[in-house]
Amino acid sequence: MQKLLEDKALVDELKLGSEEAFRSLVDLFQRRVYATAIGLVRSVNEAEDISQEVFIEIYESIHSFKGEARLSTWIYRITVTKCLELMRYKKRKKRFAPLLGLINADGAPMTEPVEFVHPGIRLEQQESAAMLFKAIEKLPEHQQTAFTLHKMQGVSYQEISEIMDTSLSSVESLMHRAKSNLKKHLTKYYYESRP
Amino acid sequence: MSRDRNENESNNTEELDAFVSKVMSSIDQAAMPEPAPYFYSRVKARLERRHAQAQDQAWLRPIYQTKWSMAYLLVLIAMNCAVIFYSLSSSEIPVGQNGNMERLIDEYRLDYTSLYSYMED
Repeated sequence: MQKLLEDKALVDELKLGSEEAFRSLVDLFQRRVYATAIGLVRSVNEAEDISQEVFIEIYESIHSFKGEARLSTWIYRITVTKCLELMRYKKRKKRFAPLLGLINADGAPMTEPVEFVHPGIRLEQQESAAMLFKAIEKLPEHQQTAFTLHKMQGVSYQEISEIMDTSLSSVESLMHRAKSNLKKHLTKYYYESRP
Repeated sequence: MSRDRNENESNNTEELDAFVSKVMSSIDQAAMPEPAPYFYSRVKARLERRHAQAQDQAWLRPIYQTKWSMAYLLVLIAMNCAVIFYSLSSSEIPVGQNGNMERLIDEYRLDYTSLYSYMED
């Protein structure tokens, strides 16, 4: 209840254009937004860029926030939408890369994506985590979103259903399918890595 | 022989399960990453830049408003209609007067190319 009142006060201040309120909002949510973005787009620079865009969008569209959902849910929703937009754009770009390579004959080299290293993961876990991220990348985007939000952010299934605008049972099913797909991919890696 | 194979398979499954659970739990204890320092300053600078850019392009804004875009569309339609009416009303072939070049062309069914080549000769 206290949290809701705090959120409401913050939103009211933001609607009045208070810079102090905007600063508090950024301080309060920057880590969560950045961590969600980095989990989904798996790039430090792109996560930073998305995080900035998220706060700009919050600032510009705070008047459309009706308070029906929690502030954190609304912010997560904006973050997830922006990440999915970027992921789709990258997928499209990857699909047309051979064709664009033919058109752009300027000799710019096609850069291979480097293996992503999550900055929050301990050194001894990084090899396993890199494998897991590679497997997560192969999941359909809704499964990726649900899995990342739950496993990396600790967001509850209920809140994920509100963020993704779907039912609780759908989130449960997404998580189940995500886990079984990940297991399949990891099994493949396991057999590939064996001598 | 068969017992050995079964034992091997069960060892493999156990190993695989251990591998999968090890990989799956590798992100469980991940610390929440933080953006680089001065994140708020960067957001603020970007926001100000965005606002300045929007002000520079303010004169373009009416074009994107519904009523103005509808008005532009109506003007374009009216201009197109005017051109169509004009071309329809002036579609009759002008009949040349006596002694004119048009009359000469009509009467002798000449085309311009052969006429000019004849005149040059």
